[in-house]
Amino acid sequence: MVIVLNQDLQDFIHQGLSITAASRDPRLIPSISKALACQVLPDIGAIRLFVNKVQAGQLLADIVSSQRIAVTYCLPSSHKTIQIKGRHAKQTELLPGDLEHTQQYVQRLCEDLESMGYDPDTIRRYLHVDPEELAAISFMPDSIFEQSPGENAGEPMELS
Amino acid sequence: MLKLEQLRNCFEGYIPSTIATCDPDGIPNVSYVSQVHYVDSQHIALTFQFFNKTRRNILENPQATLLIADPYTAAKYQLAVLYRRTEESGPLFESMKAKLAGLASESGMQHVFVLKGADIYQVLSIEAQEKASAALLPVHDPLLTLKQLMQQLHQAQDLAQLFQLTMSGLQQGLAIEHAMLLIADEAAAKLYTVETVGYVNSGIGSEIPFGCGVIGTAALYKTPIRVGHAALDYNYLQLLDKCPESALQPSLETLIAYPGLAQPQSQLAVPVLSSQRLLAVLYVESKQVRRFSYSDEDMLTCLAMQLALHMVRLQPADAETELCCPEIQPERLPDGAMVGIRYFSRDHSVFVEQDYLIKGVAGAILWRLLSLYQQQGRVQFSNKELRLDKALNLPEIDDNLETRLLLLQRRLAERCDFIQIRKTGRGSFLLDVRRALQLMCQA
Repeated sequence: MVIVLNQDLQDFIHQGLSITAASRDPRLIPSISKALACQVLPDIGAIRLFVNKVQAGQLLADIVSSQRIAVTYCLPSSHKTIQIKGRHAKQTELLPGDLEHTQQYVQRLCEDLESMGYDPDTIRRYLHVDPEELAAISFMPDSIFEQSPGENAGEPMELS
Repeated sequence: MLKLEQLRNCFEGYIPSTIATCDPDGIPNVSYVSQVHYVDSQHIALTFQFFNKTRRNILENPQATLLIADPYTAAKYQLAVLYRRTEESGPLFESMKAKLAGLASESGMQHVFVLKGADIYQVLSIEAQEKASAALLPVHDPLLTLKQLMQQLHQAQDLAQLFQLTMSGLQQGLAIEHAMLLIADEAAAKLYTVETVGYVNSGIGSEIPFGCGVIGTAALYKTPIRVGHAALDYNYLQLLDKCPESALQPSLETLIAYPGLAQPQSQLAVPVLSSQRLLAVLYVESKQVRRFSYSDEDMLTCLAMQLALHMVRLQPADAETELCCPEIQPERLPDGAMVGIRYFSRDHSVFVEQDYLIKGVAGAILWRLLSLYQQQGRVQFSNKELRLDKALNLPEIDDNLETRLLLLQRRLAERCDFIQIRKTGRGSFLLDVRRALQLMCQA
């Protein structure tokens, strides 16, 4: 069942978060990659992720066969973390404005990390956006889980 | 091919690691990992804190993939791993528990970060997601430093020199500001401090029970314990505050204050072992967060191995020492007024006038030496006669006699300038008394 993110969740994942995505191959061996940015398409409920296609090589290969994806979104300064799982995952064309959107998203995350005392050079290398290697993935969310550290981590989230 | 050893900086927790797993229905899951711990060249361990989706998945499908990053180069690596087993006690568990306590305290989540087990994974493959910049790799050469430290230890002629060289080596070779060496008393399950560097008060003679704080845990489990953030559960001074005196062992030295930092941000304790027998614990600490790396832990572990060999080498064997002839002190009038020395036989504590000096085995030895001095005028003694002395009744095999004498020597040097102990040869020493003494023994 496909779900639609409520406004609070949309606002949360748009603010500049640390994002990690996972998929798996036909043998159920998982793959994993950082994602640099995301975007919700409110009209159809799809979520777009932006990744470095070299770093996410295995993940991009795995979504071709499984179409499954799991993505964590974390605001480092608050530890608030959610996981969105989805289906119909596929690599899609980059659109005009995607690069700028990704750069701005990464900038917001860098500011959050710097406020925590992280070394600016390290985080900029870690979250480097290479325009030549940018790729987009889209998927339809089907479940959302609380993942902030604690006993409730892993509980499905109410969307109402 | 990349080796796990090359990636240990990634496990320091500066850039959080994530793990991807998959359930039997093919639904992937991705989650943050509190701690990745290097076990050996083929294994890592992850903390098991909650029975969450990751845990359920690996029990059903043990294949997982980790994403880690180097805090210096920011290079990312994927590790294909296979869950093997969980350890719920023992050295690895304790080491991870201590590290987790540091992380929990940094993030204010002490109640959340409780370790249930150490999940051991076999590492099947390592893949770099991009090339690391060689220019950013650390230039420090740990082997060279280690070689220099080892060469210094070779110069030691006795335990006192050995311990001083160890401390100065740590200061100069590794730029460590605060360090201490504590000798293990396995029978009493405690450690006593014999050498320190970088503290306002030397704290020589202060004691720590096995199992307490980073030092006591390293001693109890005979494993290195490294904490990269202030951790309340491993802050010895705060543990001591919380601990009612009655709960401490009655024989524990509490009158000499522990010299360590009140708020250490980084702590590393390494056991000094000789064939699995605990001789001592080498401890370093810092006000800086994440001051000590895996490489520092390796370095101190190697240094501790060397230290153990030299400690065994420099313990005089009884065969090498002779029972010295009782020597009568040349007639000499001690200077100054008479000083009262009080001895309490219940805990072997010795007071100089009103000031506490020492207790326990070292206190009993001092009292015996002073009694022989007063009754027979003796000043020359041997370790062997102390070991055989029925009045002292030392444990039959007390390999620590030399270090207890050293402790006594240090305490006297700090607290009582008119009674001194000086080594005169291998296993022999001189008692130098420069004031008239009045000895008073109480129960």
